[in-house]
Amino acid sequence: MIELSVHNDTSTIRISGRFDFTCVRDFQEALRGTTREWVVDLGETNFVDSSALGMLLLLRERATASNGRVTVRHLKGQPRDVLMMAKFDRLFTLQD
Amino acid sequence: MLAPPHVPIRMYVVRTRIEAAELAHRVAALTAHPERTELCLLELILNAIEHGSLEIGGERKRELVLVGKLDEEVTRLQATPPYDRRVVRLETWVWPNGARFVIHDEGPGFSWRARAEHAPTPPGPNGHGLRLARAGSDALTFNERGNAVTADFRW
Repeated sequence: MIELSVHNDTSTIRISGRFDFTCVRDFQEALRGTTREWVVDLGETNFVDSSALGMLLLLRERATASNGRVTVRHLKGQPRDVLMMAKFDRLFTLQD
Repeated sequence: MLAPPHVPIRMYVVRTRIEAAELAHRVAALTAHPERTELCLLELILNAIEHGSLEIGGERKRELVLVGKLDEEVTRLQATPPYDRRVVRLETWVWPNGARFVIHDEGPGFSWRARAEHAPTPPGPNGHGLRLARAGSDALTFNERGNAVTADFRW
């Protein structure tokens, strides 16, 4: 499940359960926000797949185009392993 | 890596992406490393469905994802001949210190030699599945035609 909250100039996307190919449409809906700062909170996420990586890169592309920034927060378990394997620590600000 | 001769083969058939996710989860639970096995199987079966059976090319998939129409197109193709009759088959062998999975699709195959093993991270929303599958398995090999892939795991 994907929840979007907006506070000042920061949009926070929280994903609980699986962040996979079934989430693509909902995630893209969440990207319609116009803030510069984005936080993706994966604290309640237990599984990510390649579609999740693609969505994060799409968000990064859009944020960068408006001089914004994406922080991925509360990484642990399988999502952490996969993002590190994909070397996303070079592309995103990762916070525990 | 050959499976020991006494290990029984199990065979499964899937058509949809939801079936793929359920099967990857269920089969991976039989292995010593369920998380990495599940991701690898899911990526390979989704590739077999989308790119193999349904013949959605990488660039076409990117366009569909960007306009939010991938799910719609997959559903449409799966109701359209000849794609509606195509299935993906998974054969599994699991033994105490390893596993082998073979995924076959009924599409024309793809030119896997063109996909370099150490290609850089693709910038867009797709094209990451094969890289994750390679990284998550101990060996990944395609048949000549490119419509069957074998993933080996050791533990």
